[in-house]
Amino acid sequence: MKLLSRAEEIILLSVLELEGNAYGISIRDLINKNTGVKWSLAQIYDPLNKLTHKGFLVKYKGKSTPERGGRHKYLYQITEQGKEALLEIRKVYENIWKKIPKKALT
Amino acid sequence: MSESIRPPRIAEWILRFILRQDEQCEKLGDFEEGFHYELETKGSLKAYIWYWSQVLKSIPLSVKNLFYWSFAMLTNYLKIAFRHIRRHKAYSILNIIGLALGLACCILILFWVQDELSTDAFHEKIDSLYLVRTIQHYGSETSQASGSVPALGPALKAEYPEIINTARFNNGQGEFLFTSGEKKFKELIQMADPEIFQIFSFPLIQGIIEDLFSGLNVMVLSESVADKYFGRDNPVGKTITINEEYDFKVAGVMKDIPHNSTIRFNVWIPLEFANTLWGPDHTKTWYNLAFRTYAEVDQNFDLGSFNKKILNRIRQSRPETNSDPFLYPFGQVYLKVWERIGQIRTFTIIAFLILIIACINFMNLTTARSSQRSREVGLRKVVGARRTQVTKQFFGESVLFTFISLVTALILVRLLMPFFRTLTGKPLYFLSLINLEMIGGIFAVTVLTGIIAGIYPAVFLSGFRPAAVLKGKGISGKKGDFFRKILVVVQFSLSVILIIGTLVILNQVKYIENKNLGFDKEHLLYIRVEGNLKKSYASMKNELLQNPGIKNISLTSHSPTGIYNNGQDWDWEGRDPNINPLVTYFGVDPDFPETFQMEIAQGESFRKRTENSGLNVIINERFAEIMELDNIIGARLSNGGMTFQVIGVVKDFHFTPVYREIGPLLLYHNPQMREYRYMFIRLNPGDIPGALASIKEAAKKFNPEFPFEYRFLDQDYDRLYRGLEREMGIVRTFTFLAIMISCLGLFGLASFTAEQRTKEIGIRKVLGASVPKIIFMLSKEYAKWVLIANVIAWPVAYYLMHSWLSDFPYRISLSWMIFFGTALLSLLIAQITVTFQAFKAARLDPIDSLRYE
Repeated sequence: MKLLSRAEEIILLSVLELEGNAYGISIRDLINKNTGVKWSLAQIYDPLNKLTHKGFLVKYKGKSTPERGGRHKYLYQITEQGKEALLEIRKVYENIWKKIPKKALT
Repeated sequence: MSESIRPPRIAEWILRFILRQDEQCEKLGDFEEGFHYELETKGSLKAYIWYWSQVLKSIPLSVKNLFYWSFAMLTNYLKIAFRHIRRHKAYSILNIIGLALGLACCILILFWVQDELSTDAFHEKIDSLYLVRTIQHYGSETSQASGSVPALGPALKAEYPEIINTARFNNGQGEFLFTSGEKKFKELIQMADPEIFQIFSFPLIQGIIEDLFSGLNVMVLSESVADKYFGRDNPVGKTITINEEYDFKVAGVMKDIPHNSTIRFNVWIPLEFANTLWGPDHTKTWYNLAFRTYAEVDQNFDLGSFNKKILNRIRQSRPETNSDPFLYPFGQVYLKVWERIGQIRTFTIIAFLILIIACINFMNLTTARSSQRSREVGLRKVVGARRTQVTKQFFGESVLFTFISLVTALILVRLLMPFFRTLTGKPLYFLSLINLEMIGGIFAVTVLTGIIAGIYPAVFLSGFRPAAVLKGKGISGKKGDFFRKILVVVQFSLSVILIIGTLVILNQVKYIENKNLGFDKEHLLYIRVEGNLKKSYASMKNELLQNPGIKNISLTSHSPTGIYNNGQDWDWEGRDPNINPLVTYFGVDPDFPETFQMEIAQGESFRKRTENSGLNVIINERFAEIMELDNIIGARLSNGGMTFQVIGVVKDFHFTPVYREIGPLLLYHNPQMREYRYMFIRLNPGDIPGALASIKEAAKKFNPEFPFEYRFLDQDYDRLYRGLEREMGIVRTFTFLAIMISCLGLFGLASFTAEQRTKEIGIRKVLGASVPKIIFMLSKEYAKWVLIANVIAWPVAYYLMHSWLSDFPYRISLSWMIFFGTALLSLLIAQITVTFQAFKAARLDPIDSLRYE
């Protein structure tokens, strides 16, 4: 399996953290809060589309609100595959970290 | 939150445009929510900026996606296209080969055209070079010639500041004997001013230009001639003796002149040397048009006003002249003065006719198959393909086919190059012909072919209604059928025009080659009178006449294939002052009419005259016609101080190529005027090798210095028509290819029709129809369309060929035989093509064709 990219990983984690309220704006805000970097909406949608296409996320229709011009929200939820991919990349990181001697960093 | 403030319209519109339909709701909503958040926290200006920046940042990504998806679709289209090629191998091969042949023809002809158009273009200064031409007035008539008087060139350079440089060529080249050590060959020499090496791009690879101006006895050799005499040694500074008399020092070696040059020579010597040969003032006169003058001009030069200025220049120096010089752009000389543009246009038209025929083929075969693809189109539409997508797919497919064809065509062209070189007689090489323009041209032609060929299938197939198609109703082929038949008619009309054209051209060329010249050119050979022979030709003639293998011998000033001596201002009693014909002079000895076996129409020949004064002349019928005298024999002709008496009229004979009109001619044998250059010998048929051996022996005896060389006159005539013959060969080849391409198309179409009617044929056979009957049924329809094509093509071909023939003074008439012959031929070709398929279809066992009902 191909490893997730950093952007994909961050987005997947954000979707997990947001627990059912994950959509474009909320993901963007969360990422801003967690990393301090402002992502453009396009930077978020591209990985979102790819993850959906790969089957790591599913998209479903949410409520519509007036500040959206009466349009529906589309919410994202992680799938089992998505979770596996996250665990996989975490394992890879841990394996790598384990091999690095502690003094190498100091 | 204020309801009234909305995101910027234009930005929203852009966003809507770049998003896919299914993601619009989500993304637009998100963008707007973000916009309102910004609006509340930071104010409207910041919010607008935010929205815009977000939209702009989305653009690159969506563009990337667009390409990604188009690429995905493209691979799908390609896959489908290749599957089709694989499944319908025969059709695809027919389609590709037809188009490849068409493209190959087109490319080959474009090569030829490119080469023709590139004539003289290698001169770096081509745009500022001019040829001095002359308008001559003959009474009320005028004619233009490329000659000019020798004194004009230096005068132009001295008197007009806009003329930077001029250079003169002696018209025609003389053949001289070269001696260098042991080596002895005859070479053609071009006499010209050394300025030619400054004006034209004839680069010296050895020696320096300054040396060429250093004296009278310097020469420049072409690389190949230098190689012949000196091999690997440096020729510069070496000496070559000309005609055993004049020593020349080799001052330089030039690169061989490329084949596409109107000025060609292998050996150059200074023009001033002509004064040594032909008298001290030969290159200084204001008459004698036997020179060509080229001028290089500066940027201030204006052709129109300059020609007005020089109009009277020659009249100042020679008031009685009838010649007006004018400058003519050198770059147009080949196309316009040499009249090549018509030929080039004809060939380009043929190339495009062939391309059209090939395109029609392609359209026919593609549309014929289209009903088989209706299900695919239906399914694509059901899955959500838009009409434009289907259109694009078919355009793409046809362009793909053209590109496969193009690759095939290029391979074909590469393989056919040696054959093409023989056909055109031009040293054309594949790689040297491929340049950026050519690649662009071929590419454009290919894409254009693909698009033209794809229009019909793309428009026609994309219009299918999916519901109807998938229900199995299919589309009624009627409309497509009719369209295809029209295309077949157009295609065959074009082929018929080409066939008629080829037949007419073929007949005309045959006519020219076989036309009675007015004398017997068989068994007539000649040797040149040169060296010692100039003094001893009479004894040699007497000795040879003892030989039984030799019938007659005549000495002449020219060979009948190249008489360039002419003049005007002839006067006779009762001459209309408006008539001042240009008369060709042919110096002969009294045996000439007998040797050439010419007929004397009136009066008598020189030999029958008892008192043979040099003032007796014989004229040809054309001249007699112009003189309009009741009693032509004994009439007096005068020119300047000389008066001649007409003793006979010879029947018109062709002393110029047969595609030129016979002009007035004067045969003289004045001992003061004559210089014999040729000895014509008529052999008795029979022991020709024996006669040749004795001629050689005599030549060795009377002229030991010069190598023995002879030529048969009929070979000279063959050479004269070699260009015509070559072009004929090209036309014939390409017509044949065009017909072949048409037949490929017809073959495919016939097999398609036969396939479509398999069931009908099966039923007919069950009901008792015989095989021949079915073949007749299938093929009679095509016969009908081919006949219609003939009827359409005839008037067009008649008009075209009539105007083509009108350029020839002696021509064949357009007989109905050619037209009916063509009709029969085309019918036959079409029938053979169709019958093969019809036969196959008729032979099928009805059990097989009806089983799957």
